[in-house]
This record gives sequence, C-alpha cells and structure tokens, in this order.
Amino acid sequence: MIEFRNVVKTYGSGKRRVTALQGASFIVPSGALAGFLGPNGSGKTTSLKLMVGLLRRDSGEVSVKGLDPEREEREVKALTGFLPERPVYPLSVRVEDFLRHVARLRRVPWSDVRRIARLVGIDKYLDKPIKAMSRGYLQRLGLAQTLLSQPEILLLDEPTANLDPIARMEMLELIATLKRDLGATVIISSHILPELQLVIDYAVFIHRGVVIDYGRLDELSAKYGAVTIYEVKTSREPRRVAQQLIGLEHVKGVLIKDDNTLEVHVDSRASTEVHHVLDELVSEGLVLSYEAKSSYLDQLYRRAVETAG
Amino acid sequence: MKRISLDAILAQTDFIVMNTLGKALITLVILVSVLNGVFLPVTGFDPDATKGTEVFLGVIYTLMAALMLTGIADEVGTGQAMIYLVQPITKREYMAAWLLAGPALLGVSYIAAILIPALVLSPRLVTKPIIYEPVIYTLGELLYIALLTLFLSLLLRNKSRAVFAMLSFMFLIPALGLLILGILSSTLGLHISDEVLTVFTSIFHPAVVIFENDSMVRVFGLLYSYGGSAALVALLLKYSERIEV
Ligand SMILES: Nc1ncnc2c1ncn2[C@@H]1O[C@H](COP(=O)(O)OP(=O)(O)OP(=O)(O)O)[C@@H](O)[C@H]1O
Ligand SMILES: [Mg+2]
Repeated sequence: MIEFRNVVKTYGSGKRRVTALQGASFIVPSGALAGFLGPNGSGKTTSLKLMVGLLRRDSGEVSVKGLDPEREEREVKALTGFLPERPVYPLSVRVEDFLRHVARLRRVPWSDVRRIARLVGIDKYLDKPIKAMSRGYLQRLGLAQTLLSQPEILLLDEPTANLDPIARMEMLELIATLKRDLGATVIISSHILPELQLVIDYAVFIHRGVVIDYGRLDELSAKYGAVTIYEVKTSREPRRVAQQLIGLEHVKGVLIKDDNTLEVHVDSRASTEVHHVLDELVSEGLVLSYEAKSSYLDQLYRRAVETAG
Repeated sequence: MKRISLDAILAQTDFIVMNTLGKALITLVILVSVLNGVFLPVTGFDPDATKGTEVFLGVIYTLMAALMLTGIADEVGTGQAMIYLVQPITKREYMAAWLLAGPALLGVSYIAAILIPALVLSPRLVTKPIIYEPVIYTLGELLYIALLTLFLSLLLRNKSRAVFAMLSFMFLIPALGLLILGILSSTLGLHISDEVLTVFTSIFHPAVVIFENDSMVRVFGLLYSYGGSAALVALLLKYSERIEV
C-alpha cells in the first residue's frame, strides 16, 4: 500500500517558489493497477518522485509499504521499479553494461538481464550503445530497468509518452500483462485518460497539487454516475438490437442514428457485462461491430473536479 | 542514521570509473608519468630539483582532475543521476561512489604517476624521504581542489558553469588578488611580506607553501589543504541528502 497524508512540496525559494503539492492525501492499495491522473503541471511527477525519495517533501507523510522513502531510502527503492518521465541515459554506454549495472545494484543475476531484455524486446540491442536506440526502444529500455528485479511496486511516469499510437497500445498491454504475471502494484501517471481506461482498475485524480478523489474505478463511476457511449454498427434491423439493449439493466439509453448505427449509453461500471452482450450479438450476426466513443475517464475526472469545486 | 551499503557504493564506483572517468584518468596518469619520466633525467635525478617538477606536475594533474570531476554537474544537472538513484542506492552512497571514483582514485593514481617513473628510472631516488615531501603537499592540493570541484558542481548543476567556477578559483581570483595586493603595496607604500603573498596564494594553491622556509606557513598550508579536504568530505556526504533529481 502506498499512502500520502497531507503532503506539501514546493520548489525553489523566495519569489520563485512554486507549490507543486498542497496537502495531497490518497491511498493506493496493494495489487492495484492505478492511474495517477491529471493535466500537465498538476503534480503527478512530483508525487511519484516523492514515493522513492528522489525529492524531499516539505511536510506531510509518505509511506510505501509502511516505509518512509526518505528515511528508508534504499529499502523503498529495492521494492520499487521506477520509469522516469524523461529518462536521461549515459548514451555512449552499451545497453548491456547499463543493465548489468542495474542488475548489480538490484542484486539480481546476470541471466535475468537477458530474460528481461527478451521480454521487453530489446535483446538485439544488448551489445549496442544506448544512443543507437530509437525513442520506442529507449522506452522499452526504461521498462527493462524497472522490471529487472521483479519489484513489488512499479511507478511509471507517462510510459506512453513519445510513442506512436500502435506502440502506445503495445506498451499498455505489456504493462497489463506484466502486472498480471508479477502481481505487482502499479501506478501509471498520465494526462491522456482515454487510453488508460482499458487497463486501470483504480484511479487517483490530481488537480493543481490537490488530490480531489481516489478509489476503485467502479466505485468512482458509481459515485459520479459516468456513462460510456458506444457506437454500435448493426447488420439490419437496428430497432430489434435497440430493443434488446434497452432492456438491459445498465443501459441508460439507446439512440437510433441511422439505418445501421446505434448510440448506446451504458453505466460505466457495467462495461464488461455490456461487452459480453454485445459480443453475443456480434456472434449472432445482429451486430457488426461496436466501439466505445466517449472516454468515461475524462468524464469522471471532469465531474470530480466540478464536485470538488 | 541510515545503514550504508558498501556493495552499492562499490557498484556505482565501478560504473563511474568504467564509463565516465576511466579514459580521462588513464590518459592523465600516462601523461604525467611520461612528463615525470622526462623531467627526472633532465634534472639529473637531483632530489632537490624534483620539488619543482612535482609541484608543476601537481598543478597539471589537479587542473585536469578538476575538469574531469565537473562531470558530476552534468549527471545531476541533466537528470542522468536519476536513472541511478531510482535503483537501490541512497543519495549518500551515490555521493560516496563519486568520492571514491574521483578524489580517492585520483589521489592514488597521482602518487603512482609520480613514484613509478622514479622507481623505474632511479630506484635509489625512491629511498630518499625528500622526494615524498612535495608529494604530500601536492596531494593535499589535489584532494582539496578535487573535493571543492565536486561541491561547486553539485551546487551549480551545470558543467560549463562548474568549469568556469573552478578555473576562476584556480587562476582568475588569485591573479586578481595578487594584482590588487601589488597595487595596494605600490600606491600606499605598504610592505607586503613574501609570507603574506604565499599564504594568500596558498588559499588557491596550498602546495605553494612548500617553497616557503617558514615552518608556520608550511604547517598552515598542510592544515588548510588536508583539513579543508576532510571538511569538504563531511560537507559533501551531509549535503548529498539534499540532492533532488
Ligand atoms: N524542478 C522544478 N523546479 C521548479 N518547479 C517545478 C519543478 N518541477 C516541477 N515544477 C512545477 O511543479 C508543478 C508540478 O509539476 P509536475 O512535474 O509534478 O507536474 P506533472 O503533473 O507531472 O505535469 P506533466 O503532465 O506536464 O508531466 C508544476 O507547476 C511545475 O512547473
Ligand atoms: Mg510529469
């Protein structure tokens, strides 16, 4: 479990003093795949850095599995893999030498380096200097160094930044798979919410240095009554599909847009159940395809900000 | 008090030596050894003459060492330090690794660069205590300047600014100071003794006290360089806790 209690963090001093966190409090339970969500400059990176003692807080308490990252610095870091937002690598060092160094600090055998390198797909770069890697591969290198000791906690600061759309999805799928395999607690920070709603099960909403709400995604959805809008392409008889759908408990409304398009509003908590029904309709041939149009995570975030005033 | 992990320190020291300082260090040791190997026969292996040679080589060595150690400004300033500091190594251990890879290793290699050529070319020279004397003074200067460089680099977090600060400390400020002292003494008719000039210069180059006969001045130089070095080590280890990346 990771917990912040009234954490204040300022940068600089005097006139140039910036308050990045003004009393942030939240909990991320063990085993969660949490999104740490907020717009640019809201304090996401600051919070993640405080979790491993890269920054010193002005006041408040930070606890990572009961440890204080400032006082028990090495212990917290040993539990945690951290992917910086904009990692800076020693570019002329070979990928292998860099990972070997990380392995030595993390006390894992050399054979693990090869295994992890294969897992994230950078094994063919091992004997090349880091500067030979493209952005996407650098991001994989970043992931490799976080995963090397199979830490219990993964802190990933904007892991999809700088990647093309396909690589973004691959990265998120990789993270979700790794999370399942390792059983780790994962925090992904991002200001791009739509792509995250497919993978996370927990969210912390941060706004101007204050955590406005946090909790399990289904609970937040219930609290803020968020709906997901699906665009459903039907083969024929949109009316018949509409009638079937409107009878479902979590479907809030159905609009017939044209001869073969429906707009379906679904309580976001029930998206998995609705997916099942839609998949069935697809297999029956009544529905050709469906797609979530609106980002309910965006809606949730906006409503949480509005509610917080 | 946090427990210190020697393993973590040594792993990071290794990495700094292999990837950051190593090549420059080897080049420097070879350069100074060769210069020393040339100077020794030229001065006829006269133990007294080696004093001047060693102080000269000490200045070269110290200057190069200072330039190398501003590398930490780059590491901390650009954020490269972060990729190490997210691993299980504390900021203090990271600092300790730089102290070992930098001042400590530079000190040892300096002694080697001075003594090995002498040992090879004229083994008898190595038995003479007189050749160790300049080593002690110049080593003090090397350590003091190297540690000061690390400290200024951490404060400034920018390599070029750190290089400028160190060059100013080693050359610009003492030159300006001497100029001002000179002007004062000529305009005011003030007599400034050699001892005062030496003490002033020794603030920037503690090894110069070796040319002074007054033993008080010499003791001052040694206390200043070695005492200052010890204080800087303590300060760096304390200050390292405050590094933010
Ligand atoms: N080193 C620093 N010095 C001064 N101000 C800083 C520093 N780092 C961050 N800030 C400020 O603190 C606030 C929070 O920054 P932070 O980087 O935590 O935001 P973020 O949520 O990660 O934003 P982004 O989505 O752009 O990465 C911002 O106003 C930022 O300008
Ligand atoms: Mg950020």
